[in-house]
Amino acid sequence: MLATLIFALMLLSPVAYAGEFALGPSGQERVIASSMLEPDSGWSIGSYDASNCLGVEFEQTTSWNDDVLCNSVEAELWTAKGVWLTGLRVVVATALADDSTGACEFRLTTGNAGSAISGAVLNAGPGDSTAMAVGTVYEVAFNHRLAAGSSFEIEVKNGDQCGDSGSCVCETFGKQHLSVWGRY
Amino acid sequence: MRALLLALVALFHFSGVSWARETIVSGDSDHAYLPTDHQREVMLHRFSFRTDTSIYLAFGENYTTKYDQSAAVHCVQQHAYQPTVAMTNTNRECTKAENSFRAPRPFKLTRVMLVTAATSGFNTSAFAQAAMRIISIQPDGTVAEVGSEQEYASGNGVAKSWSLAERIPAGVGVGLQLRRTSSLVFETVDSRPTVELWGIWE
Repeated sequence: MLATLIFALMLLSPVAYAGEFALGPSGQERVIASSMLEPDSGWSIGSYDASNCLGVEFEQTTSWNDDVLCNSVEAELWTAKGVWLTGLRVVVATALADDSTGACEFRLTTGNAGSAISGAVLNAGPGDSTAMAVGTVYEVAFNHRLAAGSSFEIEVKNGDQCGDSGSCVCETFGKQHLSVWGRY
Repeated sequence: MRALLLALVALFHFSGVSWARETIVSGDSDHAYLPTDHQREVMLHRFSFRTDTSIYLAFGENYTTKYDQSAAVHCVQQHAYQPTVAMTNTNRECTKAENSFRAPRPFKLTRVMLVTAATSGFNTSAFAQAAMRIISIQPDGTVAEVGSEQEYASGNGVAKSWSLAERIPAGVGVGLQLRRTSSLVFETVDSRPTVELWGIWE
C-alpha cells in the first residue's frame, strides 16, 4: 500500500500539471529559441520545400524575416547541450482582421529538412471569418530528443486557418512571436 | 520496505542539481535579491537598442495609460531592424510587436537589467536627465507600471536593475518606457544599452 501511494505521488508530481511531459532528466521547460516573425514573401508556398526554411541567424535585424535553403547555415538552430524539444508556440503580437489572408504552418525538421520531427507541426491563423486578437496563443506539444551538438530547422508554408478562407498566404501573417521550447 | 525507502532516497538524491553537473555560486552582487524559486530563474529575453532622445516622452508630459496613435508611448524597440543612425520616435508605440516582449506561457518577471556600452565621442560627457520604467502591456493596449521609474543617464557602463516579482500572463507584453525629467537631455546614439529580462516560467 505504501509503495503504491509513493509511486502515485511521484506520478502526480507538479511538472505533469505544468503541461510538460518531456522525459528530460532535470529542470523545467524553457525557451530554446525564439524571435519575432516578419513574414517574407518566400514563405508563401503551398507545400513544404527544402528550399524554404526560416532564416534564423541574425545579421542586420533581430527578427526572423527571411527564407533560406534548409541546408544552409542560416537555417540551423544548434544546441550545444542535449535537449528534449517539447513545444512550438506562437503568441499573437499583431492583430489580424476577420478577412485577413494571413496564416502560416510551421514544422520542425532535422537533417536539412530531410526528416520531420513527429508532432512538431503548428498551424496558426485566425480561422474562417474570425479575427485574431493580440495575446492569442497557438501551441503544439511533442517530444523529440536532440543530442548535444546537433541542430534543427524550422520549415514554413501557407497555413489553412486564415480569416479569408481559401486564399491563405503566410506573408500576410503579420509580426508575431514564435518560440521553440524544450527541457535540457 | 526498507529497501524500497532506501531506493527512493537514492532516487531523489541522484536527481538533484549536483548530479546534473551544475554549479551554483552564490554571493554575486546581482544576486542580492533572490526571488522565490530563484533556482529556476532564467533569462527570458536579451536585446540592445540604439538610443536617441527623440524616443523619450517630452519633458512635462505624463505617461499615457492607453495606447494612442497620435501620442505614441515611447517604448524601447526590442526586435527587428533599428536604423543605423538612431532610433526615432516613429513607430515606438508599446503595442507594436517589435516594442515589447510577449510570451506564450505565463511567467514571473523577476528582474530587468540594463547596461550601456558607449563608445562614441560622447561617452565621457554623457548627460541625460531622463527616467525609465518597466511596464506591462495588455492586449487591449492598456499599460501598467510593474517596475518603478528610475533615473536614467547614458554613458559608458551605466547599469540599472529592477528587482521584481510580477506575474505576467501569457500574451501580455513587457516594455521599457522613457521620459525626460528635464528640458535638457543629451544622449549618444552609440551608448547601445543591452537589456536583459529575467524570470521564472510557470
